Amino acid sequence: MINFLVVMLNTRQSKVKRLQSISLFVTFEDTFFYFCIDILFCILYTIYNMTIIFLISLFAGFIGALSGMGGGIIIVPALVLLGINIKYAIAASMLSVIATSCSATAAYAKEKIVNIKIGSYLQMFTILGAIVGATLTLKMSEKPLSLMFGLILLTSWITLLKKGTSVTHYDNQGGAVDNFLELNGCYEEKVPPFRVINYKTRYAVLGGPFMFLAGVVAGLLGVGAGALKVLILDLLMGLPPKVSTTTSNYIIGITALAGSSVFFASGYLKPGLAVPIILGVIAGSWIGSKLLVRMVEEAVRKLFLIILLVISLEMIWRGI
Amino acid sequence: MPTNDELNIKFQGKTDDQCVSIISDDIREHKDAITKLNDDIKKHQQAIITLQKRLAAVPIAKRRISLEGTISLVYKTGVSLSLFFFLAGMLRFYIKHQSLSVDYNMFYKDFYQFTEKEMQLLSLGHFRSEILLNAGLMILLITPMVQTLTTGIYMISVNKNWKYGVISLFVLVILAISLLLH
Repeated sequence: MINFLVVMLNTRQSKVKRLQSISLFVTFEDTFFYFCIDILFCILYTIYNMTIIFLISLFAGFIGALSGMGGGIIIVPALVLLGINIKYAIAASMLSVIATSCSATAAYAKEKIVNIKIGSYLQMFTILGAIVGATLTLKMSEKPLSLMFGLILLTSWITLLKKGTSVTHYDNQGGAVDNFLELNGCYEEKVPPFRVINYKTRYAVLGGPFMFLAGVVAGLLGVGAGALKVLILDLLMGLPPKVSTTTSNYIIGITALAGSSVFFASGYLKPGLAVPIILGVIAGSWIGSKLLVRMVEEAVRKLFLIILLVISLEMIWRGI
Repeated sequence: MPTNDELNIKFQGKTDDQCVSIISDDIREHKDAITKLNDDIKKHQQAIITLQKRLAAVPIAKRRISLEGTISLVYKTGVSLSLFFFLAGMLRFYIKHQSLSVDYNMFYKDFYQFTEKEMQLLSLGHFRSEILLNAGLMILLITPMVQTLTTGIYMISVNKNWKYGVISLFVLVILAISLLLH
């Protein structure tokens, strides 16, 4: 399968070689006929190849927009399985996270689910963390960090699972920092019983440093660390699942952009690979954002739990 | 609507002519009430039309749009523009090579060098497929920066919220520094 895809990626080269061999044995008319057939196969191969990447990206964008994680966690392993170098895959995935964030936030901001104030406050910390993480990358080994990240996610998964559906209101008391920064908001549910959910954050003073750590992890591992961000917003700051996922979507775009510059100098950015992925994730995140608005809180939480378990196990596997 | 019992009490001990007269008076009263209501509806409709005309007369730039609406607009514009350039680049590549297997790498010192070179080429009127695809990437990467700048300006100028104005601009400065990394 991988060899087949490698051949497809080099269709132009193979076309020339095949034409050279064909022209030695057949007449001009036959050559023209084979040439037409060859072009037809090239187009079909290209469409097939593009379709696979597009469909993977569509799924990644859909899941990324729904869970607030960006989708890079799906794109990187899928591209590696298709025989693409992991460094090119990570560079393309960083661009896809920015695309998912932009596309999904456009919809969430229109519906007024994303909280811009909370996002802006936490962006300060996560970008600083991403810069620190990116500069530490060369000095630290990836394996123990992946293992630690995986274990943190697994522990959080158990905590979230135990928390269950008991939370129905989000009117936290909030500390001095929460009140000073006016970290509260409300949004209207688009599904029956069409409630208006008011919420207020708690522990904003801790949320900042934790987001810094999430940024460090993102910079070190080359991932968006959207899972950690959703957990911080949900478990620590006590926000509703929809607000957590949409605000995380808003934050990860900026974090990914902060870490993207290193790829320009490295030469790992391949627009030929990145563009179909971006087109796919934009379409997927658009569908995902339309669906999330119409989903009930409990469904969002369940979906997040499933994806979180998969990611934590993948990270532990990478770390072992 | 009165119930049957209420009507029985109302018309008790009255002749048919008197009943007809009472009913006629009631109908007249209701007709007057309907006419009044219709007049009120017309007045309110006219008031709505006048308000809509006034709103239309206000320049779009002066109308107050919510922060979320503004951010949504910035992201939508950025994503749509980059999609346009991506599709144009792919189409142009296909027309030239009869293939969609775009294969080239990008080598730049940092994000700013990439943006500068891309802007130069576009301003000189070069529209090769690679340049169009790079332009799409450039717009996509610039969009979050534009959004952060817009948030900062909106917070300061419209919401008069200096706290978040400063926070947004601080984020923009860190982001600008981070893009120098290579």
